[in-house]
Amino acid sequence: MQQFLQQLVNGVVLGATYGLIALGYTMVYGIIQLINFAHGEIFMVGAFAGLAMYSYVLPESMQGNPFIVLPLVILAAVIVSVTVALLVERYGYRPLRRAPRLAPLITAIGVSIFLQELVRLFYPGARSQVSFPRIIEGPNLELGGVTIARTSLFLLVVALALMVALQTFIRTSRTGKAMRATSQDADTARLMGINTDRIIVLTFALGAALAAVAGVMQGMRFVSIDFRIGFLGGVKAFTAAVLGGIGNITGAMLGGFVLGIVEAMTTQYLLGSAYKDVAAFVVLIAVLVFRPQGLLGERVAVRA
Amino acid sequence: MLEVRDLRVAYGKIEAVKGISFTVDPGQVVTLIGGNGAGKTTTLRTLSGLLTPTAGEVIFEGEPIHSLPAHEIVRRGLAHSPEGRHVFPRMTVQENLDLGAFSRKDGAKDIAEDFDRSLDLFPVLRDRRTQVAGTLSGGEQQMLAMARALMSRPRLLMLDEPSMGLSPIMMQRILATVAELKARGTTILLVEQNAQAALGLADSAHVIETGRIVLSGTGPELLGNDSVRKAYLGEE
Ligand SMILES: Nc1ncnc2c1ncn2[C@@H]1O[C@H](COP(=O)(O)OP(=O)(O)O)[C@@H](O)[C@H]1O
Ligand SMILES: [Mg+2]
Repeated sequence: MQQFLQQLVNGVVLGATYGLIALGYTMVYGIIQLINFAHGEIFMVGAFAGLAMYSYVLPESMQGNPFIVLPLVILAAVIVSVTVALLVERYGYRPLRRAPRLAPLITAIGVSIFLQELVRLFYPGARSQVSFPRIIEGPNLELGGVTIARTSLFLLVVALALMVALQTFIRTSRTGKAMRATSQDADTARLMGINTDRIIVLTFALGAALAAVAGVMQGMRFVSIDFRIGFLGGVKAFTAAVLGGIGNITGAMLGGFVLGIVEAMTTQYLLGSAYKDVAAFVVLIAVLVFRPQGLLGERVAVRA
Repeated sequence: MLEVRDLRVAYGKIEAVKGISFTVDPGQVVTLIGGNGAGKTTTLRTLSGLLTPTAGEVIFEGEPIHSLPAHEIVRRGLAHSPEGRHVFPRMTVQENLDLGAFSRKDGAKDIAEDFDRSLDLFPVLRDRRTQVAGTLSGGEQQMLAMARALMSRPRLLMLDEPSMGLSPIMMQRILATVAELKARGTTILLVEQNAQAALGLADSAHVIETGRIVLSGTGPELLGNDSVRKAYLGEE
């Protein structure tokens, strides 16, 4: 029982990261029906930008103070991820907006490889694992026999806060309403006076910022990163988005948590850690076969 | 108020509008009639900026608007209630109306006034403010689409086939509302399959066939025209 609870907690923490990345997939899909396969690399680039801030910008005297380090590391990650995502949108996807759907998909794969190689070739030491600071030190917390690292608890709280903030923004703000309108009927949104290009840019920026935070989280939790984390992180988050119902924001968060828990449980009870990544792929295939619209998605008609 | 000069619009290599010119003066109802595929919807979508013309000019309130993006055009006072209604299906009636006022820079008070006025025009919508638009009946969706267009407080209202696909009773109600808007002095560019009703309301009317205006006149003139009666009013 204790072990089960422990895995549940591990799964929820893991799922928070997946959920944050999945939001970027699902929001972009909701607005322009594009699976942005470069999104995993946006997450990876964020992690490296955060690390660069820590290693090369922060003076050593400050590195021990999490109240200075964390905001600056996250800020650097967000700025770099958002910038890269906006460049990709502007010069990669926007010229192809009226092209057949396969074209931007291929662009996305090209961009992924480009970003991976960029980091691998030019980030010092990134050809193999680079270590990432823990930032939040201190003994693990214990609650009824369940252990949770301080870092994990912090990450969970941040992720949940961001999710609530995003939901509130989209439900209630004027811009959030414009985002929903654009995703439901882009041409009619333009007739309302909504600058849909700006909404698309904003959507990419929001998704990238969340992925950047997830990137820093990933680094802090696993204390090392490499240029490949975007691939696996991307595929898992994409699975979470599909599981929740692609295009559905609540679904992406739910999908993230469900996938995290499934992964933690199957690793513990079924597959062992050597096969921990198999669970996500099995879930992806099962969802695509049995419930392609996902947990919360409506059955979408194929668009002409 | 609106002047369209030799407008041409193409989908790829196929030209759908082949040089159309007409004007709309303040307070007028101008109607475009013509069979399916004549180019009426294409014309309206070009005026509101959803399509870019290949040639010609659109002058609105003295300024060229044919190269402006759609979201700028509605700000200038040209509202478009599109063919097929296109309400935002997963938003409430209230949210749809809020979005109608999205382009406005004036205060919440003025917007609230227009909100009330729109609901007075379509009282059914008042009881359904929290209902999701996709679950409204066709006629109610049409009312919502028109109310939403009015929420931008337009100087010129474009209505594309407002009575399409509605029951005869609902069709009468929608057309009566158009007549009421006209009586209030709203300037309207109307595309309507019910040519009888449209011509009855129109100060000026144009018949479009395969992308060209083939006949123009006042509403009563075209109502009395033999070829119009044969082609569009179903008379022998
Ligand atoms: N999206 C489109 N792509 C290609 N051709 C189109 C498109 N929309 C309309 N057309 C063509 O343009 C012509 C005019 O259509 P339309 O403006 O919708 O006519 P109307 O509104 O008068 O029925 C038709 O021949 C139609 O087939
Ligand atoms: Mg039409």
